[in-house]
Amino acid sequence: MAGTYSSEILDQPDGIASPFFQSTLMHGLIVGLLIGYGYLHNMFHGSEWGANAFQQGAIQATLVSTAALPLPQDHPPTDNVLATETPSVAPALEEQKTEPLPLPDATPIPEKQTPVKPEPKPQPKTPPQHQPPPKPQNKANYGEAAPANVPRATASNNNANSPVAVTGGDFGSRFGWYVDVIKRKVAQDWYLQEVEPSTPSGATVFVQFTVGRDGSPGSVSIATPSSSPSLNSSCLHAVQRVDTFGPLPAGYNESSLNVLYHCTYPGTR
Amino acid sequence: MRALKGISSPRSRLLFLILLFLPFGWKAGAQDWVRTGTNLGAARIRLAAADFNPAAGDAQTPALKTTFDTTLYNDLNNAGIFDMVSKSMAPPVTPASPQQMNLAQWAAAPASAAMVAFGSLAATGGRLAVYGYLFDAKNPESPQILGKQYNEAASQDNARLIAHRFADEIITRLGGGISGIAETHIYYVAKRGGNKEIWQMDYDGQGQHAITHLGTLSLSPRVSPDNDRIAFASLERQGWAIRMFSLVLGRPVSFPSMVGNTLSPAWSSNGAKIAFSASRNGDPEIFTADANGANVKQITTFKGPDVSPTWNPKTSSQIAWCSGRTGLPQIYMMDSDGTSVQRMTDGGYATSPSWSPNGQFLAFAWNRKYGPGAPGGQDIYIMDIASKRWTQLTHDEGRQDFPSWSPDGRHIVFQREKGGGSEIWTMLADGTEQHRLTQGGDSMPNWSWK
Repeated sequence: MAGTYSSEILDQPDGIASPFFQSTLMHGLIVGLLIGYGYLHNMFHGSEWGANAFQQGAIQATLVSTAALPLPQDHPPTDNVLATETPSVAPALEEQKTEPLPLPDATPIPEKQTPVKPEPKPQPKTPPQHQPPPKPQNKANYGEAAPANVPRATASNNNANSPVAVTGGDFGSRFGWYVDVIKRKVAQDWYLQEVEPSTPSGATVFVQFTVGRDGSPGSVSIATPSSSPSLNSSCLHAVQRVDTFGPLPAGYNESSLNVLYHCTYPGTR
Repeated sequence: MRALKGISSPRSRLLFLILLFLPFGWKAGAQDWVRTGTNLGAARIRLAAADFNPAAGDAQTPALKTTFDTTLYNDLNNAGIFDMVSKSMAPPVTPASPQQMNLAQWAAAPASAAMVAFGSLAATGGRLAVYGYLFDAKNPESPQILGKQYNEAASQDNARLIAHRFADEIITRLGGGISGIAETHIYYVAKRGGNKEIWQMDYDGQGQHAITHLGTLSLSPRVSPDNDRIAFASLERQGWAIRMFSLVLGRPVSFPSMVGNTLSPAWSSNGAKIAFSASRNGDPEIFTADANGANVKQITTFKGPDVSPTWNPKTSSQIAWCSGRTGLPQIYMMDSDGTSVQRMTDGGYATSPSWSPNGQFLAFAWNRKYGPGAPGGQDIYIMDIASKRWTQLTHDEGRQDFPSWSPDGRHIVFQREKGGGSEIWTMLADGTEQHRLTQGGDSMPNWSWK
């Protein structure tokens, strides 16, 4: 029925056949122009250095700090809580008081005279008195002797598993510079952006690991976790990123060194 | 043994022996513990380099001492990990030996040194003897960290060489096992007359001298990881070809020519492979080959130029390169067999990638707003590969190109074009401490691997 109805309308002598034809022609022309433009654009522009049209795989580039470079980060060791970027206005200079002029009939108070010390008389130089050398005593020394200068490494803690062993040995006092190297290298590889910003300031995680004779870290594990899982993993990753701390000092005779390292979150700054 | 005889059963004897030797077993496995940590990173080490004490020697000792002192101070200052004590703040003493060292003097203000390098130097009988020490000023009970002795023929070059070696020892020891770069070299293209030849200099710009004398145009030098050979592109009769120069033999060595132009060679970190760009049919693609030129493999087949490959030095299993497959040149990365292609830069005009020694970063030249009248210029950037986050290192100082990492990953050498001339500059990898090394038409620097 619909087809019959349409044909009846089109059979009208003063119908819309002519405008319909013109409209179809115009639409066809527009479509043809669009296709032609696209072809020509691709033909002459697509092979140039500079089209920059292909955006698949493009990245969100963001400016970041160079935290991962093997360079020291020049942070201050602690936050200065008193420092502020908006300092208060400096106080006005105190007005200088002018001394009142003395009255014309005033009597000046005499200043106190300090007695001058007489210079000491030069003493004649006496020739230095040389002590006579002690007479040698041909007898053995018995009794209490002076404490021997024993290297303290031999007094290291025997039981490394006890809690006391955290401070075992005297590596830190003999090779403080190497402890600084450990601190510095892990600090360089600790990325604060890995820590959730909601982590409370001062949250601390303790990570323990060993340093082999060649300086490579091993057996990395969390000794005491913090309340923030992201802080725990960031500190763990910091140690795992270190290839080597450099060979252990030649004066240290053990095969490895145990390290307990803490990462304390400074808070969002 | 009498006590052992008194124990009748074998099991009890075994238990007795175990209990007897248990403390010794614990002692053998004992290790020291240290406890440290961080909350805000670590500041630079404050290091003082005392002038060395001129021990009695020949008349040339003062001149050699001046060269040694200057070179040592500059090497330590350039390392990027020290806060150097200015010479004017150092105590006016030159301790020659540990016995003459007064650490309290150096640890106190204004020097406030945490470490002190000192020693003595003497030229006697044509030989230069140097004794160098490094002391921890904060640990007076056990201060010595390093003690070294050097003996070479007395010359200015050797005074510099010994200073470089001593500086590298200090940097390695205090830098956490990362070797210093004071003994490394930089290879570059020098324009002299109408030709371009390959030249070499020390890392600090000293000792510049020509390597090749081919009388043609030579570009993009790349030294092999063992420092034995240099690969570079040279203009021959048939076009651009990759050539090899042996630093051991001091002459060019054979490398097979290929059809078409071959450019921009790059060594893998094990020295076994070489990647390059070759255009057999007018469209440059990336190829790899063995170090002797055999087993050539094409690994890219994209429409548009593919040039400037660089290997991941950590693994030798990935290649970053510059591709024009989408229009303007961009930095891409792929596995060394051509798979797993990923785009690294998101626009602009990016060229000349260089992979950092630890494999974490790419350095490259980038004009982010490329186009007529666009703001900015071509600068050096580094990108963290894992996150694709970047940072800009140079700003508004002409046109920079061809960055190359130092083997310690702390420095970058690059080419700067300013005022019509081309110069070679170096900087720390965070963009600070920029220094000019050469001037007058020098370009395309490449830092040696060691």
